[in-house]
Amino acid sequence: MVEPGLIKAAQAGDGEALISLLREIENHVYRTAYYIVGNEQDAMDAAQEALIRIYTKIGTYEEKAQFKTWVQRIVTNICIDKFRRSKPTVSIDEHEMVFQDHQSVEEEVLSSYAAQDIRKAIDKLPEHHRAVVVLRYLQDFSYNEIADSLDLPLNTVKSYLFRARQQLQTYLHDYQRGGVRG
Amino acid sequence: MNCQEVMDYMQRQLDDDLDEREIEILMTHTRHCPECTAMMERLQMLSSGLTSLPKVTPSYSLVDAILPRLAELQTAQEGIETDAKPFGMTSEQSESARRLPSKRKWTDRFSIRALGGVIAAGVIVGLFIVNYNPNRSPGDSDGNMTASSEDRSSFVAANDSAASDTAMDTTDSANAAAANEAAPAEEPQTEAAPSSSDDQSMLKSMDSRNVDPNGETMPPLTSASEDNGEPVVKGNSPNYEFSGQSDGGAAADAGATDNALEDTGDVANKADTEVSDTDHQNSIASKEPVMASPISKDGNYQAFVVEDTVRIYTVQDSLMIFQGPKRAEIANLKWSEDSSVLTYEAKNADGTKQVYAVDPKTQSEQLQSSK
Repeated sequence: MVEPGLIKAAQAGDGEALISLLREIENHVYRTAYYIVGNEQDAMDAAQEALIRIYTKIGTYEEKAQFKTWVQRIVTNICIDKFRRSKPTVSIDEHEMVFQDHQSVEEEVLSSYAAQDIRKAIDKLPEHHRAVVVLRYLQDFSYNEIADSLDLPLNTVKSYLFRARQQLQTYLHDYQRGGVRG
Repeated sequence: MNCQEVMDYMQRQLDDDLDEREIEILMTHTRHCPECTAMMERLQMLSSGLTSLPKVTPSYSLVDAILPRLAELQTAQEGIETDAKPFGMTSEQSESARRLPSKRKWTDRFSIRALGGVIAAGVIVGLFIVNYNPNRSPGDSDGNMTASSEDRSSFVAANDSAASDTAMDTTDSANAAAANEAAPAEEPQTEAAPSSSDDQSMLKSMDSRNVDPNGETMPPLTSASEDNGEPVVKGNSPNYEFSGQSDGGAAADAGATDNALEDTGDVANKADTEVSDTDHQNSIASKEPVMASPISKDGNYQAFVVEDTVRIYTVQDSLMIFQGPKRAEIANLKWSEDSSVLTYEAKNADGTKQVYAVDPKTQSEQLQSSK
């Protein structure tokens, strides 16, 4: 968690504090971007743009909001607005996610889903559903924090999250039964 | 309670959003409903899968990558205001900062204490230039092993002792070894050396330090760039510290002067703030500026040794695309003919020399051989 003192210093014009602040959040920013836009290059671009926006807008951050939700609001907005993909693309060689073979698993009882399959399933979700899932699981946000980040009513967050999980579960269940992939 | 309502409970349970009574209701239902039990298992599996998704991190520092753009933004916002210090950083991070043009008011940081070192540095640099053998050609430092011992030792001594007075003896090869040994004792002066003055001595001293830890000359950076007809000496290029090289170190352009002074400001600042950490301070002062490789043959990359790590930057944008682990006595940075691999030597913990190969495309490093 970013120290409040560091945020105050950055807002007061301390360039050193501001850069330290960006360094503290860059992984969180990138992670969200990566799982929303779905590939490394766009995630790098989106995350950099988000960090630049945070750099220029730090003065507009108000303490009544949590800093982390303010940051995530910026990065999710950028990802959804600017990096909206025309068609879903899936690349499998990034971050060494192993593509597991499910040819013969029909009768097996699997104890887990492959990360790659989950990611592909996330990519199929509508953007806001995807953002809710990413904030919930990659940022470990509560319903309220997600609602603040995405500027959505609490009930909408819940319904998006529940629907997203339901959807993901369906996709993954289909994969496991040896059904259509990708 | 029907299955649809239970679904909502299941979902909320995944987020630990149920109270005890609600959990009880959920359990009661699933005990008698195999479908809901199966669904709950799948959802729990999904949820734990989501929780354990890889916590991906960027392959290079995004903040480092955007520093040049932040600098532009800062300049645009504040015009030529000189007091802003947007890139001030912690000591670990100062490396990248010093490569950037910024509007720091270096005079604010200038300490009287540094001035003595500055004058000493000027003297030494003058001596060094006199002793410097410009025939030492770039790129064949190994071939120069046979260069006259006098010339050679003057190199070693002048570099190891930087600002130390003992370097005055360097023309005398018999004394050179002694000068070398005496160097550590002269550390305080050495550390003041980079805190140069506003005259040109700073730039000259940059030249004098354009060597690797073995005292061998590094190839001038400008040679490769001239081949490409693409000047490398730019304000925000990571190699600006060597900018004096191209014109003999005497007449550097104004931009380079600014940068050099920037550097000065930083080091002086460090000296003021890190008195408690003398070792660290020494390492910063004595290892500055960074050692550099030639630019890769295709003109795309250049590697630097910063704080005992090899870092590769793109020539065009000065982006750091690779940073290796800390290693001792890194030397002999070389690019392969097709620019696809950077090799360098480093000493292992047991003292053996090892050669590492870095592929800038994949940003990965491999151990190539041990000697």
